[in-house]
Amino acid sequence: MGALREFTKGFSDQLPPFRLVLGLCPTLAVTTSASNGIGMGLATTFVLTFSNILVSLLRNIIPAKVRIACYIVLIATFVVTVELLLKAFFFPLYQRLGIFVALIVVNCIILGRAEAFASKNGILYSTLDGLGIGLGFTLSLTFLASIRELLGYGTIFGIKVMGQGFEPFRFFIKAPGAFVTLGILLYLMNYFRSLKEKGKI
Amino acid sequence: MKEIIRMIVVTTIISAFSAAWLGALNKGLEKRIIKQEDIYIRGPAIKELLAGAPNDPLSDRIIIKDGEKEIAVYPWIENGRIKRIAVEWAGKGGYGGDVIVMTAVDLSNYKITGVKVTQHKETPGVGTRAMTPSYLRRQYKGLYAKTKIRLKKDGGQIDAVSGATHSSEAIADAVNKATKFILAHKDEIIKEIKRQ
Repeated sequence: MGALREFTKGFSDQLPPFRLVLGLCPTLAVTTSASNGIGMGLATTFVLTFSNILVSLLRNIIPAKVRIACYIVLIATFVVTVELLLKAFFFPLYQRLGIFVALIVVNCIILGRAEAFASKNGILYSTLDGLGIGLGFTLSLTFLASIRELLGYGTIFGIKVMGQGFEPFRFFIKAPGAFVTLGILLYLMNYFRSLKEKGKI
Repeated sequence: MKEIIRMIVVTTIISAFSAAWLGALNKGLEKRIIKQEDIYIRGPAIKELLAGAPNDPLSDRIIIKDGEKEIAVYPWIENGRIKRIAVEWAGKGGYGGDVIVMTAVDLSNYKITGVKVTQHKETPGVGTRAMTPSYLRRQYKGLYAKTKIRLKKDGGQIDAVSGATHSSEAIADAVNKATKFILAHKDEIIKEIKRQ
């Protein structure tokens, strides 16, 4: 695949979590507001990109039998890095994301791309893969979070959007609301994709 | 054999670089992070414990050396007199690690006027039941700083919250150490504050 394709696949057929069904934990937990969604997405993108770069850089040095352990050390290093950067420069976001920053270590997307792609490809492609899939994830999180925030609080990014008579559905802010919203979006995406494939759109 | 050596060496070197990098980053960002914690965590806690102070306890704070550590003391200054001070301390024995607590003491009678947890890793809904304002007020407010602040099961006067023993113990430890520090350095504290 060309370099551009490696980057854009993260927004189309490898879009997490809708096409690349990974990273559901933070998707459900942190999408309670659009700004949280963007913050979490960008933090994950940072870790994913740098871990892909380092795994690719060291792919011929790390012995196969200890590769998972080494990948986790690298991933955890970047997660702590992002945690320190958040604490130093975006403290309120760090407070809102809470333990989920540390949980980026076990986000399946990151270990998944390290094992499936970065360990077998060059640095340029691995960087683009990380950036593309990370930013695609950020887009998904922000989109999902905007819907939940809109229906659950009546705002987007803190700005009041719904009119006076709107009664917020707190349901969408809680865990069951996350599952329902994600499920409906997944269904709609698959439905429209199947219509497109059959030539009906 | 060669394979095993290589596995050990590579993993160790990667871990060593990781540790070195994170150590350096932590040191480099330390001052900035402390400032952020002042603004978002300590500030609100001090505002609550020293509510009514005509000065700004956060900016009027003084640093007292306790061995190698530097301890910040936040004063309530009214009409040239120091009414109360607040000190933050980490209590050991928490379920998830240290529990960091801010303790406020009245300097006229050395009684505790308030206690507030600022940072912790306790289990939400379980350990946090030992951090509610009503529990902390009932257990700690009015105690003399001189007394050894311990849980009743350790011979003190503090009731632990059932099911949250570790959290209660860590908080008691933090308050105890804070009050001990205040009493041990009270002359130095008063002198430093008056100097400002």
